[in-house]
Amino acid sequence: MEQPTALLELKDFKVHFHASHEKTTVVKGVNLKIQPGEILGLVGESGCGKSVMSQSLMRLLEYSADVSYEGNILFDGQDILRMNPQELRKVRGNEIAMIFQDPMVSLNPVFTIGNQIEEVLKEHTRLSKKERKSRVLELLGLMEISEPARVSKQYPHELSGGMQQRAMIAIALACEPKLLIADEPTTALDVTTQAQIMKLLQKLNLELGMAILFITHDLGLVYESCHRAEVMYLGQTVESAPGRDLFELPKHPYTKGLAASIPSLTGARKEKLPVIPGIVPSLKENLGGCAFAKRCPYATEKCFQQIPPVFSIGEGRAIKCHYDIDQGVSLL
Amino acid sequence: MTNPILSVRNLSKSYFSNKQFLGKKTEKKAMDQISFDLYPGETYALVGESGSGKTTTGRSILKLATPDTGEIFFEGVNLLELSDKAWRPYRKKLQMVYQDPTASLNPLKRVGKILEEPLIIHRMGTKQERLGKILDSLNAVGLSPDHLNRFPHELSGGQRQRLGIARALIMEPKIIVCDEPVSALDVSIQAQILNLLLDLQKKRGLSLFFITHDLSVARHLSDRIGVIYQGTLVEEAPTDELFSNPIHPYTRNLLASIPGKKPDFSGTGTPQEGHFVSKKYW
Repeated sequence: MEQPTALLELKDFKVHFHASHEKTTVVKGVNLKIQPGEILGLVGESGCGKSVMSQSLMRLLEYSADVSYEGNILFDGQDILRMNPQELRKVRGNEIAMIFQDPMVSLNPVFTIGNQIEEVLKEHTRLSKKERKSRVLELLGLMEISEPARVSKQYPHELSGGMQQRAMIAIALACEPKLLIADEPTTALDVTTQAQIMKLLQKLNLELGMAILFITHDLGLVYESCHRAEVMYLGQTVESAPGRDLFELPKHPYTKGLAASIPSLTGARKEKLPVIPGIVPSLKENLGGCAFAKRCPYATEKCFQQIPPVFSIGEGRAIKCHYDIDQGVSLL
Repeated sequence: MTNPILSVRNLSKSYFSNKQFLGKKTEKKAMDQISFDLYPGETYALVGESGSGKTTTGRSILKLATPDTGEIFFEGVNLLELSDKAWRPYRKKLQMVYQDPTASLNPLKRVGKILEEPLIIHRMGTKQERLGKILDSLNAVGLSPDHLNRFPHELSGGQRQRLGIARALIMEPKIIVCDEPVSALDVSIQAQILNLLLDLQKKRGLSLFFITHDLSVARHLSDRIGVIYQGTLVEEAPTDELFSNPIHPYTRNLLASIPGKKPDFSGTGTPQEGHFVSKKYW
């Protein structure tokens, strides 16, 4: 099912940080595609580079750190890495929008919700003041906020966490972006609120045909809402699969370990959970072979010497591993 | 049935805020008539969302929060009636592990000192004996003597939480109140800490009062679960019973909201023995 017209395509994408005359590579050659209208999950533990990668998709990092990029980020055929500031402004907030983990930090505390949505419309559209006002109410309604007029006049601190995140999404959707980058949008929320926000995101994806890059550490959320997902470990993607399969039938040893270490709702209770041995190596460490080899229970000599290529293992699935563990065979 | 080691009866606490400009105070009930028992060697999980009063309940057991009314019986004594001096010997037997290991460890003190401090406060042992105890508790949580001279910032998140557990263990407590001890950790580290708690409980017969918002963690660790909503304990049942036969609408909503693959929560609708359902918030 590979379409050539990916909405966003990363080609051997790398992000380097420069600090005190040292270069640290945080994203180490990622290839991925997001199709129009698709929800792609990006899963990984803290420090795996998922947030760095998502922020660099809009080139937000260069304001706070000394970074350099390699490779390509093709959005609708145009390379974001080679855009000048004017071109970037047209893309940011207009064609690609982003929501973050903590809505209270991302919202401006001294402006009303209505004001903050309007600001985006002022920047990117030619709507009149009156049209903007009605668009604000329309957007808040789309977020399933029951009293849009009242909420638009409220300040962020007057809203609950769930309502704040809805307001963030309304700001992000103001210009009907083609791609929404959602960086752990529900991590700061309670489970019941999380379920509502996830339902809302799925509805918006379906109704507006907007693609979503959904960044999370929660395999359960991937199972529930992502069409496809990529697992990241140490700045690389190690497995790619449909969301449900990733949770039920993980193939890469790292994903297997991750899935097994989560207490389940159906399995045995009060028993020892399988644990991934060792710790995540430092990004600066020079690993000759597979990044996961040191912690992998199945690792062979080959794993320490050769970096595994990406193997396709049928129906939209691929792993960066020398072996298909379940079949007990080498993939080469 | 054995006697409970801890009995909490009708705990209530309200916070007031001066929300209105002219005087009128609004009342928020953090705990509303909360009662439960904790049995020896048992894990009781208190599950709820933020602001539901679960942390206030946990802190009340250790007298870190003062309830307005209610009673807490530990070994037949009502803790809330004790003077500060009379409370001291009980303080050792009730320990706490906090959510954020970074915030709850003194950044200026080395691991050895952090563990020795409670022993000094309670005037326990000679210097030699104290060192022995420190090494024992480090060993019990899977840290090595090499860590003695480290500062908390030199430890990883998982190691810091192990240290927090070691600090609680060193007093040889009967009960440990764990307030969201794994919610700040990645899943692979979370699994290690959960395994450690299970292991320690088995070896030492500890009773755990485990506060969490994560239902799958609660299910994995606990014998019984209490669900708290807006300061009220709305449902309490043995863990398997609660997951197969949730009755209160809030519990049902909570279970339905867990992301991922879910078992059948439908159940019979009739509470089995030991299953309590509140009539509030239907």
